[in-house]
Amino acid sequence: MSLLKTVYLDPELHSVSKSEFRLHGRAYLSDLKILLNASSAGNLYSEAAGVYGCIRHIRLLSNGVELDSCRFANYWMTFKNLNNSNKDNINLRRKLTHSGLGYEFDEKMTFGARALQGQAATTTAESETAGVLYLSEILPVLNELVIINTESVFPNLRIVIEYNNDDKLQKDNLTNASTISEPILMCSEVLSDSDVAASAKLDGLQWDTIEVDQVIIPAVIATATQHVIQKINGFDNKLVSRMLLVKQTLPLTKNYLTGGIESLGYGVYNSFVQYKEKINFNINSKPVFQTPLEEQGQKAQILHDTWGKCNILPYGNVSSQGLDKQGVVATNKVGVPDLQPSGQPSYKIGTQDFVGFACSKRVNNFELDYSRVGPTDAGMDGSNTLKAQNDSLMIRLYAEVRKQIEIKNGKILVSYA
Amino acid sequence: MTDIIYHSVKASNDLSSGVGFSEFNTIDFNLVAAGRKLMVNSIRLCGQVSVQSAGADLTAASDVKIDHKIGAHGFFESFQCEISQGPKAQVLENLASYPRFVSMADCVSRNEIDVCDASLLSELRGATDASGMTVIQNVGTLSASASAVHDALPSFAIKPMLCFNRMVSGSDNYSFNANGSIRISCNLARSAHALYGQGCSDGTATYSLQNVRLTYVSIPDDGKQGKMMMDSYAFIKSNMISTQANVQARVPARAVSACSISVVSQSNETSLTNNSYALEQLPQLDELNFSFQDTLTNYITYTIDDLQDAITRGVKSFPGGDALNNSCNPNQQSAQRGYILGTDFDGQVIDLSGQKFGLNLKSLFNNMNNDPRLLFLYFHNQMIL
Repeated sequence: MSLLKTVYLDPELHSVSKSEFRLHGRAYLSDLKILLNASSAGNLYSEAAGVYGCIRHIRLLSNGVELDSCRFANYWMTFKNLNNSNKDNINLRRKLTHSGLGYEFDEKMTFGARALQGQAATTTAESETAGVLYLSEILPVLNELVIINTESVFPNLRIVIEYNNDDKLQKDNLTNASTISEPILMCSEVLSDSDVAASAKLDGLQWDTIEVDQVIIPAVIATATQHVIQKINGFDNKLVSRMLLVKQTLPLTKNYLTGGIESLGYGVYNSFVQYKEKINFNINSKPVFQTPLEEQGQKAQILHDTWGKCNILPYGNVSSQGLDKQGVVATNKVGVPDLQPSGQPSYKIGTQDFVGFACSKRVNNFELDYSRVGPTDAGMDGSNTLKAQNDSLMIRLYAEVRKQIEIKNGKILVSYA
Repeated sequence: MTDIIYHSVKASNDLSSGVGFSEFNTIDFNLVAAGRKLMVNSIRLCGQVSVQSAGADLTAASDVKIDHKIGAHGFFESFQCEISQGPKAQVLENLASYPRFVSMADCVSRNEIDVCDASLLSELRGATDASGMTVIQNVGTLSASASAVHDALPSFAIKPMLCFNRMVSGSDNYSFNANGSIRISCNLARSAHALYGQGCSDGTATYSLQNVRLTYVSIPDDGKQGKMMMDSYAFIKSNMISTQANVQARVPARAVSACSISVVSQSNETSLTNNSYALEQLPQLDELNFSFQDTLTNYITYTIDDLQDAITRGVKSFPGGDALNNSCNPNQQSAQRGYILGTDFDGQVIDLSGQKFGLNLKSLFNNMNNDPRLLFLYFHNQMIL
């Protein structure tokens, strides 16, 4: 590749809820990056999502046709933060995203995030609290292109970001409101005539985009067994590859300590372990697993086998660190997540229970088969206000869905494969 | 897009009494999926573990633990893989002293912070000795209630280091039609080997594995069977009862690329309270000498007389050995968790089945006869199916 020019573009439209970039050059390399900043004085970014907590939806459009998009992208990017080795997160990822993932051992021999997660009053994208968003992680169509020809193939290319304005989705602590400053798009413009001409020869391509559907599981009362079979229509008639299930406790305030200011564990990005939970998926009337997933060990192993390295904190995917109880001074003090100042177990215990599996088929009928039991115990805070295993759940299912682009008579046709 | 199926197989000799499998038991699994192929490196062994002391569940004060570096692998003393029926029926490998091999593999490629990974946590691995105690305690609810019950057994899902899970990149998936069904057997370790700690001193600490099953992933058979290259090992155990040990052995392996050695004192191997899988230091190592014939029938002798060199070669002797990221540092060595000797064969793959492999080990520790050491020699063997 020759004759490249690094370009920093400001959004042509920016408001508290939306930013829009337009690419006016002839062609760009597909490694587009956006510099984001949503910091606030005195408050850290969400430890799990980092700077990505501010992104709600993101879309890539050409001539008004949506090429690729990701909805509820903050949760997806939170998983992408997790989807690395511990070392990669410590050494690189958390510096780019200002997340708190990547755990180090300290002199107390406990695990914790030792990084700062962006805390400043500055509101410019150039400040040190800015994070980098690699668009190919969120808009995978970019992985299939080396050069995006905006002259003849994808004219009037736009990137539209919609923001979350709920501070709970962005911050670990809600004392001060955050401000989303104008982001900056960083790209490499291709100037070479031959490279531009070569990139114009595109007939079509296929890729796996990220789609999401969600379902709410009602609260469960103590001792009751809840069994829900919920049909999910979002993936019908689509070729689905890998899937990810994330559980979020509702209402969102349940993820905050008493007073609603300081987040509990990873805040709204918790995916709490449930009590005596069993999960299965019926795809085209056949269960994916011969027996439902109910053991944390098996769930974690399949998550790893499906998605690769997942940076989980020890005891992050089980509901207790051995015999220790929340609210009681821990007996197991070594090799565990940082204890609370009072010596009690971390609130991050049991917050990273994600489920992944390979679907690898065309879905005609998708059902979530979910059951759990409501524990009789008090909540995590000693009262009944934080009963993470009894509350209602927002279950989000992310999936890699095969899509294709065809260029016919200069027109862009995007469809499901 | 390939149509994936998740399989789950119960042990063919599943105990129906509900007590699960315990020390010395054998567990057999038969893998059959006509018209399908076993996906490379997809076999997992899942279950729950119940550890008790004097017939009662562990308490917070019970000092009973497993080796944190290997987690639930420590319950499996040995594995045998065979193609039990079909056109290529044969025994593929017999993995003796398996937990120690896993411990060495962990030691040469990871340090304590690497454990923050879903795969390793699911194997009940941990960062410290104390983690080995926490992970086998019962699991409770996310509750602050003092009366909260810990009524769930800890679960595990290990990726056993079998040949089918150590297929080299580029290997084809295993066709059941073309090769036959697979039988995997494992022998469970003695409780005194799998468990250790002061709480084991009275000999009443026991474990049982419950709801044990083997899972794997299959894809449709495309009617072709390409080459499958797998890593395995052959094992020899010897001892050192004086300042010099001379091992001359015929190794049942035809394609050996390296030899790795670990050491444990004889008293600790049988101890109830000490870790039987410890990677102990050989006191005052003076010289290490390997001798064998290479592929051109030249007699090769490696002499290593520097400890750091010996450890570095030990790390590199493992296929996944990482000279820059391992636990073979002086701290871990002094804690009897990071001492591995060995050498690779400079990229050569050698047939040791038709010759005698020689190991000569010298130490300046003159009290060896009162505290003999056991030597565990693992020969990294490649198999092609």
